[in-house]
Amino acid sequence: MTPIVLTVAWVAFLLGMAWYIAVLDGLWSAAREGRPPRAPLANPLYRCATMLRQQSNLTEAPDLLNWRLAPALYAGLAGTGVALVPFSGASVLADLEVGIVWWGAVEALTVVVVFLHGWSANSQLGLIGAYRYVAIGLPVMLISMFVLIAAALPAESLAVPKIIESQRELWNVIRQPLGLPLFLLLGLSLSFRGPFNYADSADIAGGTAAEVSGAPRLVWEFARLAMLTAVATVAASVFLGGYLGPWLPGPVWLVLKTAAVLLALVGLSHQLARISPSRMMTLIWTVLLPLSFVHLVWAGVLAL
Amino acid sequence: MALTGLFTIMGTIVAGALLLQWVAARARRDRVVESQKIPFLGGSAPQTHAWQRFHVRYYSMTLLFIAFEMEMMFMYPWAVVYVAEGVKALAEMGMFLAILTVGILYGWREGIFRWQ
Amino acid sequence: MLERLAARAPVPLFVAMGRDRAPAVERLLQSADIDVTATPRHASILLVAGRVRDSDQAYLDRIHDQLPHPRATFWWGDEQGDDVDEAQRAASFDDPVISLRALYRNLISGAHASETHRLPDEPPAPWRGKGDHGQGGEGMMGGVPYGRMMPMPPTPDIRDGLALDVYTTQIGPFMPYWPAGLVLEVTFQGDVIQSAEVVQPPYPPRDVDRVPFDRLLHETTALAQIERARAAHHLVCIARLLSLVGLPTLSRRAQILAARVRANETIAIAPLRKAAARSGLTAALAPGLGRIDDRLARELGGPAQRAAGHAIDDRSDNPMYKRLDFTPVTQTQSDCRARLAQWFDEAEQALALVSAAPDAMIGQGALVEAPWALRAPPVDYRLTELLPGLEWSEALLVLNSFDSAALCRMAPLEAP
Repeated sequence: MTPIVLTVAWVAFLLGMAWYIAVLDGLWSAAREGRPPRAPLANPLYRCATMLRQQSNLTEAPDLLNWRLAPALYAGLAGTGVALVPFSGASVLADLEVGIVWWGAVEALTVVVVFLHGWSANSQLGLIGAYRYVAIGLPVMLISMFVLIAAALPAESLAVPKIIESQRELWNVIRQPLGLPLFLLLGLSLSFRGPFNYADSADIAGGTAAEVSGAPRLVWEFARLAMLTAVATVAASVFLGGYLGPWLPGPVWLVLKTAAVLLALVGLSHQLARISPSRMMTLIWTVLLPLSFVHLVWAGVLAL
Repeated sequence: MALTGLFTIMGTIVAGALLLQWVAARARRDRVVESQKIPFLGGSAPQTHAWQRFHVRYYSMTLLFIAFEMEMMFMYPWAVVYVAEGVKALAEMGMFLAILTVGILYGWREGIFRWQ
Repeated sequence: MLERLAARAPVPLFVAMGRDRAPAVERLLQSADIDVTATPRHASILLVAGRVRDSDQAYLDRIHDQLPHPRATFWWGDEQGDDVDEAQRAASFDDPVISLRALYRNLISGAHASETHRLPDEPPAPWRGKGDHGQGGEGMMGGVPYGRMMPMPPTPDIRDGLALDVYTTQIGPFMPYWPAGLVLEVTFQGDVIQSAEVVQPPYPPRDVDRVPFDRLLHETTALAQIERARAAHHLVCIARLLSLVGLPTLSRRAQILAARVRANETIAIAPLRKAAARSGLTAALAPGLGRIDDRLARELGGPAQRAAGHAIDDRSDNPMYKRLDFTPVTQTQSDCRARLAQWFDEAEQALALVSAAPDAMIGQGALVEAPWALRAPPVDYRLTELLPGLEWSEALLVLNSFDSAALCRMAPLEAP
């Protein structure tokens, strides 16, 4: 693929998947509530239009620069995450030798950006969301990096395309079974959904987004979906063999696998209750993180 | 080359998102009045600014986090040479992890994973 | 084009929960055409459901001004309120969803002008800082850089004694998942509550919940009606807790069940309870969270008392209930978990009673336990003692683990 085709594909993928998540969300809640969904395919577009038509709010003495930059940076980070992943053997937007390191930076900067978003409104509810998100966002990041490093061991490389190629015989999801479930938690955390929604939850009236309206909110909500897409795309490549697969062309496989991972992520976010931040922090450090150590040792022994 | 691409992507999205926010704000010309700027507190008004020396209740956890984050830096090159180095690499990283795990246990005993 | 799309979106609605709102309000909020937002910033229409006190008017105006343009107010769910300027009032026989959609469509197209601000357009205090950003001035923080003061000087923290800034503010009365009508002055350090004072008490239990119990005073009433009212009341309480732990879909299911119980439909609560348990609802409420001592449990009476293990229920002495082998259900732990389990148990028991004796009548003037403690004496214990030391999300769970009658009695206006 030429760079131009590749860029178009990347844009279409990002927008399409964001729309797909929004549709899934609507369908899943409707099914769980036992009612027919309301215009499931068009509803996300209607909501976008509503936000675009709304006035953008201000608060008293906000940090306006950071407040407007935070959603933009969040979307930007998600975009680069998707760009690391090859659509097929030869077509990758950013063929970075250290793709996993870049992804690690995306995770770390996401925590910064979410914090900034909550902090810059100069509002107590936003501050609570921002600070408590950091407590969860930091340790979850460690878990995800351990499982990604584990996936890099058999590939002997930190490049996403090489990790995919290392799965020609056997996908990592089978070879390293703990990896994908642990990585899915990162998806919920990076886009603060369901059991990991410590940033924008209803108990703090929308948290970091409590004071945001109009287009800035549209960018923020889109960035959340884009980040979930990025996580799912990386997960599909690192654990499910990305574009590898019989009969169908590579890009189709990638889309199918990403869609499947997103279905799992949306399901998890609707099905699980949220525990208090301090208990979640304890759970991550004392159960999930040691699990990721076990996972790493397992992957290490297997790779020898 | 790839890095240039990634920074271009980042820059384009950020610029586009800022532009969208700016254009949408221009399209609606209603001024934000002072009473609209009051932070939302269920109808009440705050007495002071919200920015404060916020009591970060997990601060001791962040110190442990830094220890792990530093370890991550060593793990990137380690992962690449792991297969070539073999059992030696496994043993080395195993020791490193074991030491850090003691850190977790110690922190746990000290109660750093609680909201203090 | 954009307008046409926006007009078809579910109506973004912020609800100011007033007094004595009709159960129809809950039915309205379950409509797929309505999108209930957690903050006025995300809404286009402010729904004032039920009546508000005169003293709430200033709070309501503030919420109104916080909505972004285009915005409108919709008063509904109360048949006796006064006329309010600028407000759309739907007659009680209208379908509110249709009226709301029409209002929203007109708002988007510009046919209905966006409402202007109600509070004066003035900064909270005059600018006193020096320089462009208030960076001049005296003291560490450079004087008073913008309108409001900087947070209060440090005091030792309730948990670890660290002295950092305290942030004091009033909260309520129209906070989501907040006892309707309650205004507290809360002092935070970080996200932990240091102290709380009652500024305005919450609204008393709604009329709709007491209808069969009031009727019982004058006339013979069907047991089914009484027990259905109990199940519906408890389901609404359960729904709030479900929302707070991040299960909004199950919360809506509970609300729908409550509405169906009120409409005399036959429902089963077990599937909801099972789904909630599978989602980790119990795990989300830490054991021991919101535990109250025995004395308070006895004083509160009602489900809170039975959740503490006291099998005290007026129905035990009623001949009709005796014939149905009624024994009160109880829990032991007296914490949030126990009170939630108590609501589930009592709601299920109520529906079991209905199906066991669908035609039973209770004689006029008989003593029958209401869904909450109806005839309890005043409580010598305050929310001010219950909340300090709790992290914000925990505090909301604790608040919502009591019914509004219990909260009213723990939050009287006069200082303790």
